[in-house]
Amino acid sequence: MQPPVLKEIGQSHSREFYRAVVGNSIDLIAVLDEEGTYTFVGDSVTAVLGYVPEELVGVNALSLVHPADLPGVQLALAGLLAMRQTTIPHFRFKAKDGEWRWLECTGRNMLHNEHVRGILTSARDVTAATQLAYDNDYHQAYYESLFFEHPDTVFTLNQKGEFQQFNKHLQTLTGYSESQLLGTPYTSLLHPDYLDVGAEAMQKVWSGEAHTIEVAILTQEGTVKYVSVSVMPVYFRDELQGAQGIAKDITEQKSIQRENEKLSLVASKTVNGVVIMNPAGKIEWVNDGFCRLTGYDRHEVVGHIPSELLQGSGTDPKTSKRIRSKYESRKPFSEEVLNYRKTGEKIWFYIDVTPIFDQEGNLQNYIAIETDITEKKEAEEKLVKMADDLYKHNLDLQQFTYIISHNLRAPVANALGLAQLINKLPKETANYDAVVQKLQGSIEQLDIVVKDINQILSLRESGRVASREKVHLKQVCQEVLQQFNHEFELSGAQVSVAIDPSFSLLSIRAYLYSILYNLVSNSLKYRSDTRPLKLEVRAERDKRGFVLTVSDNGSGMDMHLVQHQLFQLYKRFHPNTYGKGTGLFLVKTQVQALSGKIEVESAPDQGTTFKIYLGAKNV
Amino acid sequence: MYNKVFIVDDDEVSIFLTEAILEAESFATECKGFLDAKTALQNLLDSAKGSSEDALPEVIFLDLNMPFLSGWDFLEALSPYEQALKGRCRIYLLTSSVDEQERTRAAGTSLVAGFLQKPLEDEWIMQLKESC
Repeated sequence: MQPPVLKEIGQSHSREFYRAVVGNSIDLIAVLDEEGTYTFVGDSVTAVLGYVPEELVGVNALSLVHPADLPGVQLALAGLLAMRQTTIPHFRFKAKDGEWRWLECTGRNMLHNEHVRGILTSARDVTAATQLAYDNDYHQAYYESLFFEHPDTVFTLNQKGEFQQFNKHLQTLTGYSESQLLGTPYTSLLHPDYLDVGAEAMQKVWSGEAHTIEVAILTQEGTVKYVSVSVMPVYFRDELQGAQGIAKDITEQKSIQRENEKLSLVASKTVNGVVIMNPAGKIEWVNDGFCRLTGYDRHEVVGHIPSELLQGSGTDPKTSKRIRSKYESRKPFSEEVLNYRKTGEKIWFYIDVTPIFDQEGNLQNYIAIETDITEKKEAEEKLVKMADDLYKHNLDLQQFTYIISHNLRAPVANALGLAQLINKLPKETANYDAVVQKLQGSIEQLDIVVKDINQILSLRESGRVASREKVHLKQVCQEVLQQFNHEFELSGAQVSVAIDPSFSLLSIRAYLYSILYNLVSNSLKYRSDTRPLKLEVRAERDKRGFVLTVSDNGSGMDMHLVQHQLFQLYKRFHPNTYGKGTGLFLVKTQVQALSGKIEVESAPDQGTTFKIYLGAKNV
Repeated sequence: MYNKVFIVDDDEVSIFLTEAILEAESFATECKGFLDAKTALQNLLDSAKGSSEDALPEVIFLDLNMPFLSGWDFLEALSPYEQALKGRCRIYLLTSSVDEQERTRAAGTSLVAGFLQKPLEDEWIMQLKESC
């Protein structure tokens, strides 16, 4: 092929004129042959690509095109052979420094122009612009991903508040199809109750402020869903274009929240006391029921530990201790406990405590529900007292059955037998007088038993009703001992009294006297034959009142043999001593009438010790 | 007529009365009263074991309500010698008690031949004599 020759030079302009114009053009002017080989390259190539024209002449332009762009360029060149002019799509071209440059190129078929005889190309470097477009596409991809792939509903609104664009979740959320939603105002989805809230929020958005609201919407099926929507204004070049938003379905959360609200309403309105404590057991919140039951205001109890606030002197220390250790065990528990109102009034609570843990198993709260069981407890106490009384009465009945069947019946049987015998005996015999004497003896015995029974019965009755007076223990003791002074002297007994003169109590004087009298009398009666009697009477304070102790060094008893019968009526344990078997029975009855308790310790030939506990009620 | 009868009772009048009735009915040749149950028991045990020359009584009238050793204790102490006593010695409870529980308890005790209530009646004595 012939090298291109600029044959004709116009009259008005020199050859150099054209060369300078082409060479200084911003565009790169070149001429290719049909194969694409450069036949002419303008001087501007140096500014655009870094080559000098001579380097490129004779080189095939296609060899410098980026392989990925080559097909498009080849196609355009082939097209040029059939057309006059075409625009070649952007392609990358290797510059002198080895970098790729984006070129925008137009080609003009001038093969038939006798002056040119080639394809005239005019190219310009558009690398910067192409890069920008590329970057835009790149960002667009990210934006689209954010928009369409977002797990929540994403949408855009135009300035009229109509849906323009949205991801597929809006359809799932609302149940409407894409075509139903497009161009529809957002207000058509809102539940009527939330129209105002929506309008107010949008007002803010239009004034340039992003906003998040919770609203209810109506789906196509008519069900209500709760959504949290964040809406933000969109500006482009300082111009408000519309808004875009993200909506999240919070129906489930909302129902949990409503459930909680309901529960807290229940907690605050229930008649039971509800207490929420922190892990240290200190009160964080109490309901109205608690305030009503205990008489405390909420602000008075917050920060306190319930048991310290409510338990008092009457609370069983064992229960207190058990409650504390159950709190520490961090397991649910329930207890019945005596508490006190602010006024000091007693109130029985059934408490039910549940520890609350978070997902990691850390203790968050204790929740206690307190039920007032005072009435039930009082009824229980009455019942226990009644059962106790019944038990005592039953014992009494058994005792009286015994008295009647043995002690009363025995002299009657004798009298009957003797009377029958008298009928058979001749009056003149000596035996007759003996029988009459025995008959009288039997009737006297009968009289004694009847009197005993009368005494016991009246004692029991009066024990319940007799009024208490202030009794000095030492004084009573001395009066009793005085009665026996003569006998003490005769038997050479040593008597010691250790009672603080200040000890006094509300009691029934006659009973205390009788109790001491019987015990001292027994000590004398059953003293040892081999040694003089040592008798000690003392009183001590104990936590419930006083303990009165009477101990001797007498003949004693074998406790194994006597313990079950010692205090029973008409039981005797000393074969050689006179006794009716009523003394200790009376002592016990009198001690019981004083709400006290009697204990005995004894050993044969060593002595006997009686302890009488006089309860706190009488102090 | 029986040879030998024991009366065990802490009540002196009761023994006197029983003896008087038995005498009047010519119940036995020898009537022995014991105010102290322990002595009576020792006496019986010696005879039962053969360590004493004395023969066993053919009939014993035993009171129940006695101090230190009740009629029931007495029977319990005898129970190991039930075989030795069987057929040779009959024990009758003679008590002033009108307690139905004691009558029931007596019925359940094999050593007891009968439960009699004080005062002893002629009729019973006649019956006992007949079974001599």
